Amino acid sequence: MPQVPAANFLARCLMLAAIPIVMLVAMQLGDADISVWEGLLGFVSGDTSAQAMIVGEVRLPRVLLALFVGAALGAGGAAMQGLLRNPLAEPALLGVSSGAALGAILMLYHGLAWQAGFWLPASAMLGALLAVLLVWGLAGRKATGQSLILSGVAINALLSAAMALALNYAPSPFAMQEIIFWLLGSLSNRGWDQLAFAVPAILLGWALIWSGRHLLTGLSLGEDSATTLGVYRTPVLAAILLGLALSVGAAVAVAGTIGFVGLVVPHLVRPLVNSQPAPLVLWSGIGGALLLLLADMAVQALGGQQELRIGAVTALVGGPFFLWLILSGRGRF
Amino acid sequence: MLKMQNLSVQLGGLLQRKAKLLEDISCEIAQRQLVGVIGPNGAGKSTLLKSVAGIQAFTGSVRFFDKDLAKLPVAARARQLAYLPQAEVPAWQLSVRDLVSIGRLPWRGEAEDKSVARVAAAMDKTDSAALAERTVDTLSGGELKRVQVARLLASSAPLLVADEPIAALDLAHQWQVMELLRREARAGRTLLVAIHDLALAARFCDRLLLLDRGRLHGFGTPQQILNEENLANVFGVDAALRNIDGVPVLMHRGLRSV
Repeated sequence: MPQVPAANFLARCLMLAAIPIVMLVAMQLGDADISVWEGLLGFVSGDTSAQAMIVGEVRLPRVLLALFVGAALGAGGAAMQGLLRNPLAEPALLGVSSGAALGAILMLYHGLAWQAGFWLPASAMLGALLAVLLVWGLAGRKATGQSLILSGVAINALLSAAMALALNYAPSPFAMQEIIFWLLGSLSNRGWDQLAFAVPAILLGWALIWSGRHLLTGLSLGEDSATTLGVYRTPVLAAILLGLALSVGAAVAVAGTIGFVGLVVPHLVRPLVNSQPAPLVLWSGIGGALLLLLADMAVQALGGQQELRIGAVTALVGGPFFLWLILSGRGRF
Repeated sequence: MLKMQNLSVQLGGLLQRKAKLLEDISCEIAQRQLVGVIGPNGAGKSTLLKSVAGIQAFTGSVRFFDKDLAKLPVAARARQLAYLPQAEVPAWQLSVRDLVSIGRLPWRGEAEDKSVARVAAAMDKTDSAALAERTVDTLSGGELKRVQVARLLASSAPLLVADEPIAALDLAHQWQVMELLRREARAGRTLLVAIHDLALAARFCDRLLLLDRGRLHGFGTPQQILNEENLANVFGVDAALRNIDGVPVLMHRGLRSV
């Protein structure tokens, strides 16, 4: 085991401790002035008071969704960066996000989103899976980082074109607004249904990614070395790609596209794990959960008539961070 | 025992002009030997090592004792053979200790203390223990190479393949690494090492495998291989291997006179 400096250990403990605290504080936010603790206890014991209902049916699923979606995006980003040996990679590069977005748009376009809460995420999920399969198919069975990136860029361009087309021919301004809001990402008005849809897929995706973590370790020395170390095999690569499609696809399917979490979080967390790609996946998941919880708190705290979309918040924070990353890393990349 | 039979590598598809990188290499390497792969640039040294390591498609066969290396599953092959590429660039700012530990990846199920001991021993042998907590991006080229050699030695594989492990090292560390590789051979491993420094190759290697434009030009002891004729015909230099006070020295007079 590498030695963990005390500061890293402390930072990890703080991250873990911060999550339940932030969740409780986030649940306190909202229009109704109620006690979270009493509401939670009431909800668990089957109470049907307004307090218990608001906490149990609205606020609790929302923070849980932030937790899982953030973790899926963070862990997905770390896995992508490890897989492509590239600090600028994020899951969207595989077409996960645009595939899911197109799937969702097609549903919104036909105004089907209302009829069944299930079909929108299901269609988005299907879009994510198809996009990843397409990218992988184009890149070749034992894709190298370079060819995965190239085919990802190509498929993303195609999917964006299809999205633009859908927007262009949107049947009504209302449908168009729906689509745009969905693209900005949001955690509001989500409930246990969305959680029940997303969490199993996210957990399965994580299990697949985690099963391939040694490939990420080996790839830190390059593809030839990873192969001769016995970890670069097609089934392992397939497990990671499918895991990414499932976990990130499910996250995007229920919350819309939320950018920058997958890109930024691994960079923030990397010093805490001595840059090791396998533990980075775990801690980026935890960091992503924390970041999205905080971002959603910001969304709620800012309030206002027109709710600020969480995708806008993460982009507002992520953009400048990305700039800083480039400036501070100049000459290193 | 490592046995190559009719090993050939050909580039280019059906209609393209074919380039033969290796042609019909057949050779048998005994256990406990340090074998230097020599030859001028483009002779096929790296291609040969990559074929043996299983990352270059080839025709023919490479057997290590009773195992056909190309037919072994990659995880099983990784426990037979460890490979150090010519230029291995770490993607992340890993610590030296973590990088060397990656050499234990094929044995990741084993007890932690055993793995730690092997990693520590490999770092000690290569003089990189003092660097253990540094991150790899802070190392000089030579230091990084020593760390990568430590990564190679941390493996328990009986066959080690290294592509120019001493090219970036200073004189003392070149010597040290060659001595180390020879000691690994004496301890029972088989080593196939591409090397450019012919004097060091002569001094440390048990056998030399001389490649010339993809063909096996000779395989034998350094005295047999490094004769004036081979130096002139294969390397294009007017030179001779002399023995001065028991030390092989390459006396380099100039380019081959035409």
